[in-house]
Amino acid sequence: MRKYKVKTKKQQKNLIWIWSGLLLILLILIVFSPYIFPDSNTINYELQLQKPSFQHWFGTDEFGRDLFSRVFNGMRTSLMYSLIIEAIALTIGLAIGLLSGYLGGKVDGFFNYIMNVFQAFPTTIAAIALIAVLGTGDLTLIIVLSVMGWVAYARIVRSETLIFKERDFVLGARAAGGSSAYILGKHIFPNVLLPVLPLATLMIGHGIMAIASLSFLGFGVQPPNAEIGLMLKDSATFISRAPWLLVGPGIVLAMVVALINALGDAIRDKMDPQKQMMEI
Amino acid sequence: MKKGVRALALLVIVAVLVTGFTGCTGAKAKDKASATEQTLVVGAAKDFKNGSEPKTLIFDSLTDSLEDMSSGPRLVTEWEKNADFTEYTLKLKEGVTFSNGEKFNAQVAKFNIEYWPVYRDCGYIKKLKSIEVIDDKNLKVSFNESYGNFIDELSKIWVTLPNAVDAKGNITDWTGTGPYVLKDYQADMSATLIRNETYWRTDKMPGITKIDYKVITDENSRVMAVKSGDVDVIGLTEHYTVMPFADVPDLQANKDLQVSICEDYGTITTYSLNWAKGVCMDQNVRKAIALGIDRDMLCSTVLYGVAEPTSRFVLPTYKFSQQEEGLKYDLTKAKAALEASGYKDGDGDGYVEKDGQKLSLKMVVSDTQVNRSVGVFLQDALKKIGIAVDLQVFDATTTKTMLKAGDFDLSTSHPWTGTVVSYLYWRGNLNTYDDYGIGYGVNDEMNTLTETVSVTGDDKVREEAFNKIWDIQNDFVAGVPLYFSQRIFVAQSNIEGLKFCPNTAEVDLSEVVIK
Repeated sequence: MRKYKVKTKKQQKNLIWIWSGLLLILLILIVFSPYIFPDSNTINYELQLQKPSFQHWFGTDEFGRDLFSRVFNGMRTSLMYSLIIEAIALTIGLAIGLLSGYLGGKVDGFFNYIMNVFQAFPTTIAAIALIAVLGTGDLTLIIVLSVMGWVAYARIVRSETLIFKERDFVLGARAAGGSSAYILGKHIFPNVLLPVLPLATLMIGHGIMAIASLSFLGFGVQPPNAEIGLMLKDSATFISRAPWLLVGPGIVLAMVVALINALGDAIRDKMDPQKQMMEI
Repeated sequence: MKKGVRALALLVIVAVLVTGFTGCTGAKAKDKASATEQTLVVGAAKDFKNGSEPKTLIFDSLTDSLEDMSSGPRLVTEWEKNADFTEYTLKLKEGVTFSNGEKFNAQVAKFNIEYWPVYRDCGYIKKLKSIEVIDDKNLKVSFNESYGNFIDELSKIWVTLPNAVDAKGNITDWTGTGPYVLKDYQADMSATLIRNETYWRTDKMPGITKIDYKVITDENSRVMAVKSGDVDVIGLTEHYTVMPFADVPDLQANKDLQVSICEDYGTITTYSLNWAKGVCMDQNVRKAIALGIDRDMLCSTVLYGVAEPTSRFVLPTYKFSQQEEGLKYDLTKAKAALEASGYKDGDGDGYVEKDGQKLSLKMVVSDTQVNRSVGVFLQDALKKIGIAVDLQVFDATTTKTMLKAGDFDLSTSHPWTGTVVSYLYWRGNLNTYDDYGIGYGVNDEMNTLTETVSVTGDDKVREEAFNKIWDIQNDFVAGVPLYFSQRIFVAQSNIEGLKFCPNTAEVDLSEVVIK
């Protein structure tokens, strides 16, 4: 016999508060890092490759730069870019998903074909190919990851639009003479937005990882700017001599992405009544 | 039950011990076996057929580069020249065969002398009049005008069979007269070579009977491979430093490894300044850059005391090298040079401007740990004299594309090499962009001096010409020499006899043995 435990509203709320609280602390450090740690790019060779200490919690790199401050400055770059990327991808995904789902027919077929094509390419490899054409740079990085990221949103928005466009309140609005733009904007858009939000939260973590991966491969942020992937790449040479170069950035990257994902999951649970029943 | 548990525990302990001891014995046996086999596993940065060095294991050059940078006999054993260097008579080594049994003779030598110079930057082809085959072992080479550098340039001709090349300078059949025979080749992956048992240089017959050439493109992975014992040696098949300098102290401290650093031959890492376009057209800006870099600090910090600072273009060990150091670090002079060109920090942001334009350089470097670190160092150093640097790190292919298009102000470059005469024909007198930035052919006088160097066979005349060349280069500042980037071999401690050749693009395994 299967047993189910109902997650109470209070439990859900607590979970969201815990993840949000932890994330908030990190976010404060990340967002305000240029003000908290203004000297993260300052070179001081006398402090070259210092072990972690009270002065330098994560140690220093080969230029004597404090790793703790660089990690948070680097996370700020990644987070900021990831937010921009997801905002662009979400906008494109919403527009295409709404049009595709609402208009149906040939328009839907066309967009479905496009989405299939985009999903056929592994994101990182496609991003590298695009960067090879467009050239390296922060702007290129944002464009490339946005272009590769909209499909996930479009799929969900399309399927939700297909459901909502057959609902009574939409049929009623149409019968009352509401235009397609009015129905899409007033009735369907607010309803499809909610299921997309948890995905958007998860995709922020995904975006941070993608930026770090591309920077690690040499296609992302340029030195001397701090960025987690770039820092991890530089640490490869010092892996036996100065392992702390790897540890600090690695831990913070993992924590931030894990917390963003946990928050995304918690929001999804909160917003999806069907998920409130969890199998033991 | 208890007895059963005890028995099981005992069994596990015995199994672990037996497995452990078997493993130990196995490893020793393997070591011993590999020593008897004399198989050298080489970790290489490039595909076997793409590098300059690996081909020297398969092919022989016509003449040899000796330690004093003069030319010695090899496939060409003797030569005579007339007084004005317009005629040379070459005598070839008798009894030499390619590894497939075909003979090396005057016809083969004639083909190689005519075919290869275009692809090996040999200047003699421009003045070559005719090659007459006197007999099987003698050739007479005639030039339209004097050409004194001919014999030296023959050391760059690696002899192939006439039907073993295509129309674009590619070798299609890797059959040579050299010490090894290519047995197996996987593009970008590996190659297997076995000893040429009929090698004609009996005094140079290598002890290593088989070479496993493994391509490991990532610099950190190469270092890990030699540390873990996956390969016997790294750095052997490249004429430049192929590992991060940061790793060298660690590798030197590793008792299982031996690190050999070449002090006599090699190149000086030199950054190219785009003197034909952009802000670096201004000679004072170029001078300020050269004066604004503290090379001692660079070497002691991000190069970990391994590389040696210098402002020369070529090592003094090479013939015709410059006698004096070039522009040394001087912050005051660097700032003065910028001021002389009208650059001043008007808005107090730490960067100088002229006509409202901030002095900003686009620095393009290929993606290696050393290049990234040196790039950040230079960025910081030039900031101190008010120059902003936009550092752009690309993969090797993109870097080459950008440099060839002249899309840079400051970049990594191909340095002057020994012999300097050879480099002069390649990039020393080039005034356009190539894969390595822009050449050093900065004015018409460089043309005249190049001509002087090629025509004369008199070393004194060449030396005088080169002194003028170095004066031009030091004054014009077409490039910024930074440090002597030594060749470094890292090998397992049981390998003996590795040595550096005067020709940095040659691999000589004649004395190598695995103990």
